[in-house]
Amino acid sequence: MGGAVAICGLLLAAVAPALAFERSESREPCANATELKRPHFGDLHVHTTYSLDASTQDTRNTPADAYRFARGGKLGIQPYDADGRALRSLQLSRPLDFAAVTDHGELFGEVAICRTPGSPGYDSLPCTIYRGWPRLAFFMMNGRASMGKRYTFCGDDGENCIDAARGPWKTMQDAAEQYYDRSSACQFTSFVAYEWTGAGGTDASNLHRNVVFKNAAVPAVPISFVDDKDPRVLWSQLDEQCKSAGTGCDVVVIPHNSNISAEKMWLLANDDGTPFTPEQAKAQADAQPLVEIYQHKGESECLLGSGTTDELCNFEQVPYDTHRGTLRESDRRTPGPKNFVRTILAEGLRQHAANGENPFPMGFIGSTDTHLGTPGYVNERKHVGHGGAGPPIVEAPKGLTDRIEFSPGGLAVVWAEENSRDAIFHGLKKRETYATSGPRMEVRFFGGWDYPGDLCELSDVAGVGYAMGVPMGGELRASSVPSKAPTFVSAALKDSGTADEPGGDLQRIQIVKLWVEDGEAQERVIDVAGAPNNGASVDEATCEPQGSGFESLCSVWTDPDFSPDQHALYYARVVQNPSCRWSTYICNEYQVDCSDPASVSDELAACCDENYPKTIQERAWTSPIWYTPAP
Amino acid sequence: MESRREQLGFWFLCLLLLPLPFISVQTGLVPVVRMLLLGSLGAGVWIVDADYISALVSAILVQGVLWGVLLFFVTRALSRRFPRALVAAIAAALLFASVFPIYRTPFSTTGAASSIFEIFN
Repeated sequence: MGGAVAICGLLLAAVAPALAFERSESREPCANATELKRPHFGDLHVHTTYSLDASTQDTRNTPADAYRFARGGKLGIQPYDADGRALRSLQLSRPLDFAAVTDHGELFGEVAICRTPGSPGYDSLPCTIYRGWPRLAFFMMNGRASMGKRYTFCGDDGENCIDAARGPWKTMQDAAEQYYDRSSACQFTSFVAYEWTGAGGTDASNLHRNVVFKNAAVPAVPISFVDDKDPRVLWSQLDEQCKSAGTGCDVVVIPHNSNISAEKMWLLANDDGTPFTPEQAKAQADAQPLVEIYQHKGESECLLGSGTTDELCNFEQVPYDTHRGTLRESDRRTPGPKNFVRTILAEGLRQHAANGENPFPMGFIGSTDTHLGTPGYVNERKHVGHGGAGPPIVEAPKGLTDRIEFSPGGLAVVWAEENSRDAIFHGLKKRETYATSGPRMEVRFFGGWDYPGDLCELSDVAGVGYAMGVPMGGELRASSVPSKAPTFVSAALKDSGTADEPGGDLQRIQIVKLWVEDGEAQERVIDVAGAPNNGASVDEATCEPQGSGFESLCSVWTDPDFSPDQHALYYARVVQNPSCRWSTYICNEYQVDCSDPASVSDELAACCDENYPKTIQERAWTSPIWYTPAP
Repeated sequence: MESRREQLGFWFLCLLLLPLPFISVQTGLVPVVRMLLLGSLGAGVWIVDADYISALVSAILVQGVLWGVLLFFVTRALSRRFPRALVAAIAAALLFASVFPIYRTPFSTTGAASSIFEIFN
């Protein structure tokens, strides 16, 4: 008997893949785990009825509904009829692998009180307004929360509201648990999460960050912006209440929409202007290993003309730099360079070189920021709007379904051995992630010193990639041979799509290199695979693709300008052939004729706004690989 | 005196039932009383919690007061220039119409059209 057990153990050891992550929870191992990892597609930015802005737009879907939708379920969305039946419904053509509901953590308690008769504060004036004029309450309560203040009805030190927040927070945890697949099938992973909804003052600049927990061990209530407006306090509180709590809790903080932060998202130095100490920089780096660079409210990678001449930085940009820009034309300012992640990544290199530590070694994800409770709904052909900062959905829309500058958002992709919380979270912390603008293309990116030039012809690109270098999100240490330059392997497989909606062909892979020279940040964008001038286009009238592209692309590229003394980073950008933007599908459906303005209704007027393109080039952005010179 | 009471009654009826445009960050079509009620609640929050919504509350109250004053003069003119029967017919038509969805409440979740009962519910 003992011998049989020993043999079984040996067999298991021989068959089971070596997993890089540690199990922190009780669950079955995944039957399909693989050492070479798989891409898992998910959405880490989802709002439901527990977010004030969503509920006051009549979003009724709960966190449980959102997870059910992510797993492929059909879900009703507003408007609702008098009997509460949804008049529209949505369903993903392909389920997601993982998701996190990230409702705004600031007003859980307030909203719970206002909705619960008999609770202290139910009859208060703010609650009366919440129930009678919800959209006024949205402006009023959000405005107050963004100042870091609670209402009088919350009691001394806000205790009534903090106590009331436990209810919704528990419901969110229960929903995540209910839909988490702990069986060996490992079909879906949910994360307990929330959004820390920071604001930079009266200009309504966006300092939002999503807080995603590793497993079911989480703080008693969310640590919100109302508790303290300083993100450093958020990090330290998360350290105290989660990482150091001895409960198995771990957490990542993911900033988003730095594009509308009025350049306030990133803490570049101490408040008195002194540079970060290495310890301070490391604390920031450890707390925020990722940034959401693409979502519903635009792209935060880079902006053409704002610190870069990269032409592909002109992608899904919003024409303002704070939330106020959505409300008033007069509040619209062109976003500055420090709104964009590329600038900040370069600043991280500069600080690393100057101060010995990089405060911004951030990997990339995309997500939707849906406020309908519909994670992963990124369909350009059928975009219904995502609510939130967009308009409330009064009726089934007769025209454009969202603000013209918004988009359906993107996805977060994590390379992981299996689809479990521990494996996915490990991928997030290691930044082995990439963002896409919606399509599910598969992208590998490795950096090393000795990759063979014919690696793309080998069948085991990933095996060699891991064995001889580091994957996306990794750090490439200096070579023992000073004359060597690093080599980067990038490989992409197009999104196969579905029978009804086939994926677009690939056009090219680019590598973006950032480095520091004489204390100044530099950048270079190199086409390493594909054909930028392949002539492919799209018929704007029918949205039919014209010309062809690539099913897959692969490249082995060695940096010809490498200097071993310079801090640098490299990331890959995979670009599809042009395709119709969401707005073009709708404008075509309504047969909008911009040559006859009188025939264009108000709901469709934005179809003729020349500031917005008819076509886009969908894309993926891999997390960078950092090169650090020898000390 | 009788005519004065009738004129004031007509004015009150219009304050209560006549849908008028409300313009703010969200628009609506509501009676003056509804605007004043909303403005008063907002003012209460402003006073109790020193909230930052003074501009919004002011906009609501100012519009309510302006419409109220304008209605006063309009209803007075109508009462004076037209026969009592016609004014009564207008009032009756307004009463009848108010049970149908001719209003749009500002700051509602849906902005859907609603009747007088729904907007004061």
